[in-house]
Order: sequence, then C-alpha cells, then structure tokens
Amino acid sequence: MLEIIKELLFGGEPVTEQHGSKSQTPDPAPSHVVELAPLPTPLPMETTTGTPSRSSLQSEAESGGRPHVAQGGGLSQSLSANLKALKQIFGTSADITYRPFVVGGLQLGAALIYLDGMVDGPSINEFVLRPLMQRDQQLLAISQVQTDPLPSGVAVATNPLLLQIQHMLVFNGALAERTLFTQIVDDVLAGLTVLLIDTMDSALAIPLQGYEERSVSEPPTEALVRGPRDGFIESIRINMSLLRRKLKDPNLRMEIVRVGRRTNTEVAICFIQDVANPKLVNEIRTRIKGIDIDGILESGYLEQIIEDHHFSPFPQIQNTERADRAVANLLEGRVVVLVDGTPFCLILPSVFNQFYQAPEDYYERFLIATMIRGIRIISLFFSLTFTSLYVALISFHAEMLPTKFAVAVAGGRAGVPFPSVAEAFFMELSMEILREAALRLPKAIGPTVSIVGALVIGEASVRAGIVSPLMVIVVALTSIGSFAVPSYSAAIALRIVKFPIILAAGTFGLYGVMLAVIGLVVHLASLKSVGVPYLAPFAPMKPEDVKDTIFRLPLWAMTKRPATLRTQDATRQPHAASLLGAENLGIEGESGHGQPER
Amino acid sequence: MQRRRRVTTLLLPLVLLLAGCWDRREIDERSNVLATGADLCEKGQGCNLIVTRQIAIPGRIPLGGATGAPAKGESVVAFSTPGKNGPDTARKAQAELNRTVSFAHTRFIAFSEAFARQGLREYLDYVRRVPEVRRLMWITITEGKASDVLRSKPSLELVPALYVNDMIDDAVKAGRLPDIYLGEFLTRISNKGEDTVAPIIRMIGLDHPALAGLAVFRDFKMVGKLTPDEMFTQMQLRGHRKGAESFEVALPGGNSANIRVYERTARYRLSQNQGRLTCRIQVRLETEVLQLSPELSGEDPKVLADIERRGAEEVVKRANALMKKLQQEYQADILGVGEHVRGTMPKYWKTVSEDWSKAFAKTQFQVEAEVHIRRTGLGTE
Amino acid sequence: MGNQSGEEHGSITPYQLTAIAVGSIIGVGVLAFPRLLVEQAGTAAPLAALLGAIPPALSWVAWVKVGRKFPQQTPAEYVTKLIWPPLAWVYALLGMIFVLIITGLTVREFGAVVKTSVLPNTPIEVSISLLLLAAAYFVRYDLQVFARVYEVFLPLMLAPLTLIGLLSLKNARLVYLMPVITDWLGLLKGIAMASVGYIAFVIGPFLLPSLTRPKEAVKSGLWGIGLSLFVYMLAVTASLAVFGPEELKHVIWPTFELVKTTTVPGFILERLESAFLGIWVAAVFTTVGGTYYALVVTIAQFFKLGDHKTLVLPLIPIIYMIAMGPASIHSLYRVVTFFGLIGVGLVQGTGFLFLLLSVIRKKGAQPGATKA
Repeated sequence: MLEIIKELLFGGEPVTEQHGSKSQTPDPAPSHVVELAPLPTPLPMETTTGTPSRSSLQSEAESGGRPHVAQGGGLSQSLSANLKALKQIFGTSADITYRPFVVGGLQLGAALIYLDGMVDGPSINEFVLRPLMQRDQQLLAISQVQTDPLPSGVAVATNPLLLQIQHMLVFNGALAERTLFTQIVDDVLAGLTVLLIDTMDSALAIPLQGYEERSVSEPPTEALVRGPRDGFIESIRINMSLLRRKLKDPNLRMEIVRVGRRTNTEVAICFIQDVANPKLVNEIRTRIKGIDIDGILESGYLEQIIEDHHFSPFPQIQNTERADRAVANLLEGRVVVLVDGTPFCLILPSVFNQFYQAPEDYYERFLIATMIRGIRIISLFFSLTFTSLYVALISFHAEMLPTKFAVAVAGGRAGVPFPSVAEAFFMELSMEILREAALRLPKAIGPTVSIVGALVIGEASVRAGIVSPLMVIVVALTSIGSFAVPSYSAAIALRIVKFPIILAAGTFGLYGVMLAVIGLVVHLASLKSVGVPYLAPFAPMKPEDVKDTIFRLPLWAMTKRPATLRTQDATRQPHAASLLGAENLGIEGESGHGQPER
Repeated sequence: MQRRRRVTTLLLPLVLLLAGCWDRREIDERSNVLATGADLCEKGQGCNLIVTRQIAIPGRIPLGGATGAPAKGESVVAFSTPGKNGPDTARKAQAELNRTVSFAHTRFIAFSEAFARQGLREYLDYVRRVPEVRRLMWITITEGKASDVLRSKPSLELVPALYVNDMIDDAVKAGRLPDIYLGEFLTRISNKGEDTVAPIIRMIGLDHPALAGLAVFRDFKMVGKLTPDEMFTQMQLRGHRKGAESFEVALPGGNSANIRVYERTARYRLSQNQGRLTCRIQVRLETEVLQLSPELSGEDPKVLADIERRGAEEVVKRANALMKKLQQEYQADILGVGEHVRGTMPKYWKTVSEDWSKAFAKTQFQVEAEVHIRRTGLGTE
Repeated sequence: MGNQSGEEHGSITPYQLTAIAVGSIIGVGVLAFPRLLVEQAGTAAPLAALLGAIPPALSWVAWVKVGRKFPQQTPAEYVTKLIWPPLAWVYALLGMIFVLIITGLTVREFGAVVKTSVLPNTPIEVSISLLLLAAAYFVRYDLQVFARVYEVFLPLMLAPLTLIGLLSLKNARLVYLMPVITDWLGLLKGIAMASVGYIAFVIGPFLLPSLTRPKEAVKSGLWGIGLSLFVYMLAVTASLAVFGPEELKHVIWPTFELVKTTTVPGFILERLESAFLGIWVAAVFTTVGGTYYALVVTIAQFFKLGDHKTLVLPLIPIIYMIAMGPASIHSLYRVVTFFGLIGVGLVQGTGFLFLLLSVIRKKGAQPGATKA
C-alpha cells in the first residue's frame, strides 16, 4: 500500500520492470492519476521504486560492473565518512562536485553531491541551498514535535529529522530517501543532486537535473507533408512524454529496464496493457533482459541483439523517429522500445508489409493514400529488379523489345566494350558511392555532389562509351525507386539484394532472375519477427489484415487490429458499422472506449 | 542449422558465378535479320533456292528518334545466299557475318510467287522448328522476286523491313487484310477443312512495295491469286468483323452511290442431302455512305433502301463469282467451310475429310447478303 | 534465437492447403497438357479436362476420410497398420520410388523447355541443377515456411494463364471447339490423361495431420483441385480455340505456343514467352518442391528418421540422375505418360484402397463416425 501511495505522489507512471510484473494481476490502474512531472525537471526513475525495491537484476549488474560499490553497503552516520567513501568511489573525476555547507536551523554539517553540468545550478541555489542554509528558529520548534504533520504514508523519509527537512526545507516536487551507496552513486550518475547531512545514515536524492537537450523538432529522416511535426529526441523522458501526450490511456505501460553494464542505459518497453499480446510482451522483455553488454549507445545495438535472424539483410525490427508512428503501432498492438540517448525507437514485431507504409498513409484520404502506396510498391519492385530485368532483356531476350527499339538500343550500345552486366554493376556501384558520399558530406555540399556526380559521371561515361545511355536511365530509375521506399533500412536491404539478382540476370537471363526471386521469397517466408511471420498478412494469409497492405481501405472499414499480432482487444471501432463514413472515428481516436475526459 | 543455411545461401550465388553465361549475347552482338525472302534459283546454278536476308546495321538507327543525327549510308544491308534449303542458306549466311545471326526480330518472310507455287512445306517446317522465330511475323508472297522487296528503300521509313511490316500491321488492324500471321498460316494449312491465303506484295517502281490482293493456297502450294476486290469479298464471306472496303452501287438513272463497309458478319448454314452438301452463307454488312450522285438525297429513306437492296445484289454477285473461281479453278476452301462441317456435322465429315478439296468443289453455295446503311456522313443532301 | 515460437508450429490453414494444392498441381505439365489431351480426345479435350478432375477429387475425399481415422498420422505412418507390414514395406518403397521419379521427370521436362526455347546454349545440366538446388534450399525449411511460400506464389500460378486466356480470345475460333464429343473411347483416354495432371499433389495426404481446421480439409483440397482445373481448362480451351485440333498436334508445347501468339495491347514488350517461362519457373519450382518435400517426409516418417532436413541434400544426385535419364524429348514424353498413368493408380487409387482397407479391417479411430 505504501508503495502505491508513493507512486501516487511521485508520478509513478514509469513503472519499473519489477513493479510491472508484480502488479500485473491486481492492478487497479491508479498509477497514472498523477501526470508526469513537468518538462523542465523530468522525473527520475528511482523515485518511483521507493527505497527498498531495487531490482535484483540491477544490483546483480552493478555488483558485476562496479566492485567498489558492492562492498559499500549502507551509509554511516558520519558525514565525513560518507563523503570519504563517495570520494573513493568517484575518484578524482573532474565533474563531480561536493558542496559542503551547514544547515542553518540545525547547525549540522551537510553536503550536496552532484555532477557538474548535469544539474540545474540556479535551482539548486534557490530551492535547496537557500532554504537549508537560512537560519530558521521555527524549525527547531517543530523538530521537537515528533508527529508527522502530513497524513501518514505520504512521506518519503523515515528519519524524523530528514522528514522535516523534506517537508519544510527542500522546495522540490519529488524526493527520495537513500540509505545505500549504490543508490547514491546511481543517482549522482543519473544527474540527481544528493543531500547528505551529518548524523544521519540516510540521504535525500533531489531531482534537479539540468542538461542540454535538443528541442523536440521534426525528424529529418522521416519527413512528411501532412502530420505532426514532433519527433523523438535523445532524452528518454521527453520521448516517453511524447508517447503519453498522444496516448492518454491508463493502460499504456512503459517498463524501464536498464541495459549495459557500463552505460546503464535506460530502455523503456512500451505497450498498451490490454491490447498487446502478453506473450509478445514477455518475449520481448525476456530478450531485452537477457542482454549482457557493456554499452548500448543506440537502439541499433538492441535491435541487432534481439532480432530473430542475424544473417538476413532484411530488417526484422522497424525503427522510427516519429512519435505518431510509434503511437500508431502501439495502437495496433505492437511494442515500442525506447532507448535513452537516441531519437530512434524500435517497433516490434515488424513485417515486410510495413516497409512501404508511411504514417501519412493514414492522414491522407484513402484513395490518395492507396495511390501513393501503389507508387511506393512499384518503386520498391523497381529498385529491386529493374536493372536486372533490363540486363536480362538486353543480353538474353532481345526478342522481347519492339524491333525498332531493339535496333536503336543495339545502336546505342554499339560502342560499349563491356557486357551489360558489367555495365550495370559499374553504374550501380557508382550510384551507391554517390549516395554514400552525399550522405556523409556537410549539408551544404551534399546536393552539389549528387548533382555533379549524377550529371557529370552519367553524361561523361555515356560520351566516353563506357555505358549506354539507356543504362544510365535504368540505373537512375532504380536508385530513385529505392529512395521512394519509406523505410531506410528496408531500402538498403533491397539495394544489397539487387546485386545478386543482377548477377543472376547476367548469367541466366529471366530464368536466373526468377530463380533469384524464388530464393528471396523462400528466405522472406522463413523469416520471423518476434514470432510473427515476416510476410504476414500475405503468408499466412489474413484476409482482414490485407485491408491495410497494397490498398489502404477507408478508416471506417479497418475496424480490426492486425490479426497477425493476436491482440487481446481486436476491435478498433466497435460501432463502426453503424457509423459508416464517420472518418472522425479515427485511427488515433480510440473513441469507442468511453475514456473519461481529463 | 543456421550455419548450414548460411553455407547453402553462399553456395548458390557462387554456382551462378562459376557457371558462366552460355547464352549471354548482347543485343549489339547479334546480326538481327529483320526480314527474309526466298526466291527460286535460276537453272544451272546448282542450288534450289536463294534466300535474301535484310540485316540491321547497329548504330545506323539512332536511339534518339528524330533528334539523332541522320545516319550516313544505309540502315540495313540485304544480301542473298544460294543454297539447297533454308538451313543451308542460313549456315552459309552466317559464315559471311561477324555476328551470330538472330531471327528473333524477323518481321516477315517474303516468298516469290514462283517459289510459293512450288510449295512451302519444307521451308515452313524449318521456320516452325526454330524457336527464335516469332509466331506473329507475316508471310507474304511477292509478284516478281522476293529479293526486290528486301532490297527496296521506301522513303517513308528508316528501316525497309519495318515499312512492309507496318504496312501489313496497319492494314490488318484497319480490316483491309485478313489477320494471317505465321502461326495462323500454319494452323490453316494444318486444318483439314481449310486452306490459307497470304497477302501479295507488288513492287511499284524500285523502292515502293505495295499490297496487291491475296495469294490462294491449297495445302502448302500457291494455286492462284485474288484481286483486292476479291479479297474483300472473301473477307465478307468469312465475316471478318472489321471492314474497310468501299464499293460502288449502280442505281437506276445513271446515278450511283459509294458505300463503305465498316462491319461484316457472316453465318454459315450447312445441310446435306444424299451426300451433297449445301452451304448457305448469310452475309450482313454495316455500311455508311461515302458519296452520292447529286440527284439523290441521303435523307430519303426510299433512296437508302434502294441502295441497300442493290448493294446486297452487288455483294451476292461478287460472291458468286468468287465462289465459282475458288471451286472450279483453285479448289481451295479459303473460307474454312470444311471446319464448319467438321464442327457441326461430324458424321458427314468423316466421309469427306480425307479429300475435302473435291468435296468443297462440289458443294452448293447459296450466298445471301444484307446491307444496312447506318450513316450518311456529315452532309445532309 | 526464438526461431520457433511454438504456438503455431505445424499448422496449415485451409487457404494454405488450397495454395499448396494449386502450386503442386500446376507446373510444367500445363505446357504440353493440351497436346496430350487432344491427341487422345480430339475436340473433346476440354470436356476430358473437365471430367479428368473427378478422379483426383474423389480420391482426395477418400484420402481425407482415411486421414480422419488416423488424425495424428500421415500415410507413411499408418500404411503399416492398414497393410500386412512386409507388403506395406514394398508398397511404401514403390511409392517413394515413384515420387522420386516424378520429381526427376518434372525437373527434366522443364529443363527441356528452357533449353529448347530460351537458353539454347546453356547446358541442360546447369539449368536442372539450379532448379534442384533452389528446390533443395526450399525443402530444408519446415512445414510452415513451406506453406507460406505456396501462398506467396498462388497468384503467380493463376494470373498468367488467365491473362493469356483472355488475350487469346482475339484469335479464338469457336468452330475449333466443336464437336464437343468425337468418340467415347478417345474421351475416356483423354480423361485418364487429364487426371494424370493432378498426381503431383502427393503431398496432400501428408498435410492432413497438420491442419488448423481439419474439418475443412475436403473443402480446401477441392478448392485447390478446382482452381487447378480452371487453369488446365483455360490452357486446353484457349489452345484448342486458337490452334484447332490439327495444328495443336504439331506443336510440342501448345500452351507455350499460345503465349507466343499473344500480344498485350499497349504493352511495350512484345514476345512474352521468355517472361512467361520466367514466371513459370515459380510454378515448376512449387511442383518440384511439393513432390520433393513429400519424398523426404515419407522417407523420414516411414523409417522413423525424425528430421527430414538431413535427407534433402543426399537425394539431389539421385533426382538429378533420374532427370538426366531420358535420351530425347520424345522419349521423355513417353516416360512421362507411362509414369503418369501409373501415378493415377498409385496416388489416386491408393486413396480408395486405403479407405477400403480401413473400413474392411476396421482400423483407425471411430469408424463410421466421420460425416459423409
């Protein structure tokens, strides 16, 4: 009970993995009553867990990772001893700051410990140091009263003196009492300010983080014309708040797991409790918890470790910078994994079908969306097979071209010394080089390089007779096609696979192309993303899900969540049949649920 | 498991690479034969036939269409090879070329009339067996030498072979020629109850091939010709749907009307009486008026009815003349009556199938025609 | 890591069963099918094709009924219960050899088509080996992947011939389809020939224990046979209507020839036979994959070897040797016809035989409880 109320007080929403698993059955879902802390001082994770509820996993990880702390144990009553111990742990690191002072009202020695640059200095001065250092006679008076002025259970501190300080002297919303060195070390490293007071064997952790963050801005990699402009940033707190702001559902759960022995990176597993398949969530949770690595710097680390098939060029986990995309996937019953320090979150499970879909498909009216999707699918096939088909036609099946055209093409190729396979390889390779070069260059030079490269190399190599003009067109179309695929990682996969298909076309013509495509299909059919077949909903066929594949049917027709995900609550629009044409019952709405207004 | 799969996936492309590419022949590494012509060999030269082939010269036909620099010299070269038979000439022709001969783009075969009258069985057997050859190419018969057609340089088209090809394509599409490509030609010859036809090409001057009626075949041998008018009558009798011909209907008082057929249908009614076959052919033509004598009004229903009636008489007259020619002179069933017999009177067919040509010659034909004028053009009078 | 999620292991949906049926049945046989039928039945070929689907359909019903008596077992497992074991061994061995042979012959037939029409200089050994390797790569996966691949390729089996059938309407002549019946003996021979077209569905009875909804086995299997019938009917009717009964006998692969005489209006590319053959690689691949899979599964289950995957690679050389057996294309077709007719007895007849035996010998679970 105590814990629940603590949660009430301190936000509670970011449920730790331990709490989540414990409270799954009886959860009356009060945890969201208090909103997340306001943005400027994002709430730390630790406060929610309360003092004794450190996860066993973490302490294990710590005992392995930081041997000093393991033997540290609890705080002593002596401030100097405590400081000495901490100084030993942190060594002579330049950014650790110890600020000794005297608590005015008590005439007790005290110290603040924090990392310079990770805390909000003025706030510390104003809201911690100032009230504590001021002499205040009232404090003593009240300190003699042993009763708690506040309803029982609300307090964090157990030490009566600390309780007073908490209640009367530290002007801050969220506090936590700490008695172990490991906790203090973690807090300091996470940017909290720790208050140690002489004669007390417990400390207060004050969340006054303040460090430079990029502001929420439009994600550059997933631009769209219509749709929200907010994208994830590097801070997991902000990212969680972005999700929460779009999805005001008490059943949205965000479990924090810390991954990385040394980076101690926070990873949030987000899902909608009564939608996502619990087996799926469990599987993902187990996979993430099973990771033992020194550092996670980007969600890509996580992706590579937890994906099903490591030797496939195809991404089995989608990533996105867009908060709206993440929320849409949550609503479909997928799991979103946020990783601290990167704007890219992971979406699991992902199927091949998703790689030609863009969030805009659902914001535009369905006819337009369907057409645009059709164009994307065509460009997907273009980028995969167009060059190889051209090679097959030119060097094997010339009879398929219209005679006049064939004669002209033969003329265009007359001076080219290489077989068309070599020609295609040369051009495709230079195209890839150009793309890579334009990507790495400063933004101001990038476009220049691509224009110069495309024009000059294309034109000059045709003039020089190294490639035929048609090949330039074909390769350009292929490349543009691959840019039209919304998922960057899928586009890269297609570009990799393209090369063996060109090779097959150059050796066996269309027969080779088809054999390569068959091999590709078999490979794709054998893939799974967290247990979901990669080619779903086409194979295995789920007629209900096909509504949102090549065609994007009107929103009122898509009343169900993807059946492939085996969600607990399969219906998106329970009353859609009676509301035909009511597009305002949108995908983002979840209106049928009777959610109380807040 | 994973490792094994990896090995397999690695092996597959490797096999592809090592396997090489036996059939890779770049489009510019082929000598594309655009058209072929076969003539009889003159006596005393020790050969059976001379085959002329028109081959495209790569690079002479620009890729950029009209914007390309006008090609210097010829876009194609035609050269003749004498030999014993088709394959023999192909072999000899190959020896004279730097690139492998490809028949993939051969658009038509021209046989000289003399060659066709000797029979095409052997040559077409060769053509049928070569998989490169397109089934949709045209079979044509030339008055005079086939090589003349292949050596002609029509000014309207850059590639001579394509001139003839487009000419036939367009005529077929417009309904001016029956749609008889190689596959259909062979099919009709194979049919026991049908004989085939092929368009005739006549040279006007040195450089201008033109369509000039149909050659009539019995089995693989050419037996006669149809004039363009007879050809249209044949198409009416067969009921080739799309029509294009126009003909003049003489009216009383020295007046006349010119009507154009745009749709034809024909129905066959077969009956037999004591072994004698009677075939009723009901021709129905949808027409429009192209020209009227000034005395006549296109708005007058009587006039139109008169034209329809007399037009029908004209059609029947022409049809009877054609049937007489086909039955008595050629004994060639280019209408496919025999196929109708096979389809609808299987028992009777068994008695005549072995020698259908004779039975065809004895068949009694009754041609009936209906002409309907549906439009009179933009003029009202 | 997590490759087997367990919850849907070994489950095949009714739709997948249909797809597997179509994929296995439709293959290289379609190319020569009209000729083989017209040679026997003349213009009655479409009727023969239609009636030729009845034996395989009935046989499928019989197989399903037998399968219901042994709900957890495949034919390779329950054959020893139905037949006196030594005889069952002989029977099973014959079956395996037969499936081995038709796998080889299918590969060879396609190799011959490829060699003759699109890759004349590529050694037939190479194109055959490639197809075999691709099939082996495919067969090594488990049943779910197997079924999914068929699902993906299902449209590829149906679409091309439907398109070709529609486009060849331009050149079709109704009179070629008449008379509907010429002679009864020829029709019967034609029906027998037509039912040969369905023997590649040997995999069917082996899938029965793995179905998600066993009750729909008859229905979805018949759907598969029906869709294949549709493709066969299209091929036969369109070829006959375009070529007529006489010319049809002169072309070795009428369906292929049909593609050669077809143009898609408004399409840039002209001669589609290479493209068609390219797509048809998938059809042949699924046929070969089906029989190959049936083969390895039968061997693995009959000899209780456990995993079928280890058998895949050792069988490649054997299939390859069978494929290279026939000396020429005409001896190939003689062999194909011979084994095809045996196959009608072995694959389709066995269904009835097993049903009969299970009823007479009262084997299997709850006889008579199954609904008709």
